[in-house]
This record gives sequence, structure tokens and C-alpha cells, in this order.
Amino acid sequence: MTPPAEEPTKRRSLWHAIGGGNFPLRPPWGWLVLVLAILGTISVSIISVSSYVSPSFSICLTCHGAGEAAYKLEPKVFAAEKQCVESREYMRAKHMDLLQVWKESVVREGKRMYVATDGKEYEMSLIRTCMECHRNKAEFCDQCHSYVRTKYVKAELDCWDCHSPREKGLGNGSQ
Amino acid sequence: MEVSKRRFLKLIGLTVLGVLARPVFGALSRLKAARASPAGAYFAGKRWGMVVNLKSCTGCAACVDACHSAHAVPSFGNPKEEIKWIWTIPYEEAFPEQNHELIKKELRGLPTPVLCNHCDNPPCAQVCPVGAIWKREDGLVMQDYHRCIGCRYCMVACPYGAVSFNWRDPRPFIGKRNSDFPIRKPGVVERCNFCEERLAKDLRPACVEACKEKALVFGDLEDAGSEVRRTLDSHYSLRRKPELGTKPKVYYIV
Repeated sequence: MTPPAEEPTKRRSLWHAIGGGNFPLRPPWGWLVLVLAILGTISVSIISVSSYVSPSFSICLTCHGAGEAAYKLEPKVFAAEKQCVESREYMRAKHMDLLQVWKESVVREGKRMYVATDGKEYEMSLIRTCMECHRNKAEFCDQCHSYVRTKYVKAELDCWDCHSPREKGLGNGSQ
Repeated sequence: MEVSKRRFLKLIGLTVLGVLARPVFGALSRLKAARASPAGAYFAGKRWGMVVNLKSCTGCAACVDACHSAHAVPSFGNPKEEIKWIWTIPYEEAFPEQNHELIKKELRGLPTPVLCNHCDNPPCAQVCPVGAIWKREDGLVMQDYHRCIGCRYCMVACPYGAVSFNWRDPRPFIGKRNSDFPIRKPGVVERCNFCEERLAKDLRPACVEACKEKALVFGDLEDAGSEVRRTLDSHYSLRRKPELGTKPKVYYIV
């Protein structure tokens, strides 16, 4: 018995290069699945890398942007100054980035003074600079953060666990 | 155009890599920029070290109290969970290789203050998988609590047992606090930082300041006129476990 001679097949087109109708499903789904898989890989990679580079997610807009009207936020500040180290808009959107830069600067580089956009100098210290005005976690930080937390994420805002002023009876866990 | 299946898949792979390359390299170059910032200028020319003069040390542990209240170090009362930045151990345990049965009577069981040696070749920094411990240009072995993942490799690597792990919430166990130094959380390690926060204000470390006998001497090892260098010039000094090649920067005078 001789095996039947194979028919010479023409697999020269792009369509055949990915397996034609056999890969991975019957046409036209093979194309669709492949394209979706590639797009998915690319988008997941981009999202994960970009979120590592800049951890500002769009949910922040809930408090810091359009959603503000829907949820009445009353962050209380015990401030001697009208303005924070930078403008209100900048602080709202970027305070987490600023704090990250401050931490890296103090811990890694030993630079402890921050020169603001308006030329004023501030000590890069959460306790001695930020908490001078933002004295109460419940009345300031939690106003936005607990809203975002309950609604979207379960991450706790834990800055105050370690950075708690020793005086003024503040920041001892409950606040 | 002829495109083989193999070639097509290769092309797709290359395309994906190409698309990913930009953000990945962007992130890497940012990290590099952050690391390579001109930190050297701030620490240039300094190399901090300490001398412990056991001839004048009385073992009063005032240094321990001063350090632990300056850094909010908790005391759990349980040696298994103990957190210590500076503590005292008998001389024979601090210098096991110097011990023998005919050792000087005064040295036998002498409480010896021990702390992080801020090694020039720190094994803790080498093993840290996340870069949370590193040696600064001025010789201080620094730690970033934010970055620590609590894997405790550094505790295994340190031959001096100078790194402690936070097993539980330290808050209820913190005694007196006399500074705003941040508290730690369960899941991170901690160790002596040579009072980096005080050095930044031109203050000496808390333990050195607290020692009434002036048995602790701190200063710049690069400066030939500094008190540490003068003390080392005039006395024979020991370091703990120098044979391991860690190059510790805490010197002992016996």
C-alpha cells in the first residue's frame, strides 16, 4: 500500500501564514482572536508600565475633577497660610507625586529643602511641613480618600500610621 | 509577497517589543535619573564612623535609652520580637574570636554596646532585593522603610544581628518619644541609622550625646584631625568580625 500522495498546497498568502482556516478557530475568528490577543497584550503592558511610572489613576478625578460636585467634600485645613506649597490645582492632582519626590529627595539624596514654584523654601517633612496645616486625617485626608476607598479601592491611607506628630495628640491611629 | 508563518510571528513579536520599548525605557531612564542625581555634593568628603571606648564605658545603657526614645523603638518585653538599634551584650559575645579562658578579668562579661556597624561593604545592602538598603556616599547605610518588603534577607545577611523585624504593631509599646522620627509598621525591618536625621542638623548621634563617660566618639574618618581619628591614633582598636570582610566602621578600644 502506498500512502496517498499529498496535494501540493499553496500557503503563500498572509492568511495562510497564520494557519489559514485552522488557526486558532475557523475563519474569520482566527483573525479576530489573534488581533484581540495582540491588542490585549499591548494595552495591558502599557497600562501596567504607565501606572508604575506615574501612579495617577483616573479615579482621582472623582474627587479632584468633575465628580466633585456629586460628592460634597469638606477637607478642613488648619492653615496660617492661604496657599499650600504649590497651587491648589497642582496639589489636588499631584500631591502624591510631590510626596514621593520629597521622600526620595530626603532619603536618597539628603536634600531636605524644597524650592516651590514661587521661590519659597519649605522643609521636605510630612510632619513638620504638611501636618502643620493638614493636622487632622479624618477632617482632611479622609474627606476624599475614604470616599474613593469605599467606592473604588480597598487600599488604606496609611501615611499617618508612621508619620504621626509626637505632640498635639494627633495622628494616633484613630485620626 | 511571501510571508512564512514563522516570519509572520517573528514580525508580530518584534512589533510588540517595539511598542513596549518606549514606556519601558522611559521608566528605566527615570529610575536611573533618580539614582544618579547629584547626591554626592551633599555628602562629599565625609565618612562617618564611631569609636566605643570600653575602658570608660560603664555599661549604664544611657545610650540605649537615648537612641530608642529618639527613634520610637518599641520594647515588647519578648526577646523573640525584640527591636533594637543599639544594645549591650557581654564582651565575649561581641568578640567571640578574641575570647579565651585566660581573658582579662575586667573584660569578662563586660557589657559592650553594639549597633549597626555601617559597614563599608554592607552585606545587608547587597542582598536587599528591592534596593531598600544602600550605602550612602558618606558611608551611612541607609534604609527606605517605604520600599522595604519585609523579606528579612538583610537580617540573615548581617553578621552582627543589627537588623530587627517588626512582627507586630509597635504603637502600644513605644515608651517615651523625644523626636518626630517616624514610627514603623509591622512587616518592615529597622536598624540603627547613625542618626542620619540629626547629622543633617549638624548634631551628633543621640547615643553619643547621651554618654556621660564620653565613651562613644563619633566623627569623620576622612578628617585626620577629627576626634575619632585622634582617638584611633592613640589607642589600639578592634572591630567586630573583621575577618568577614564587611569593613565595619564602629571601632572598639579595650
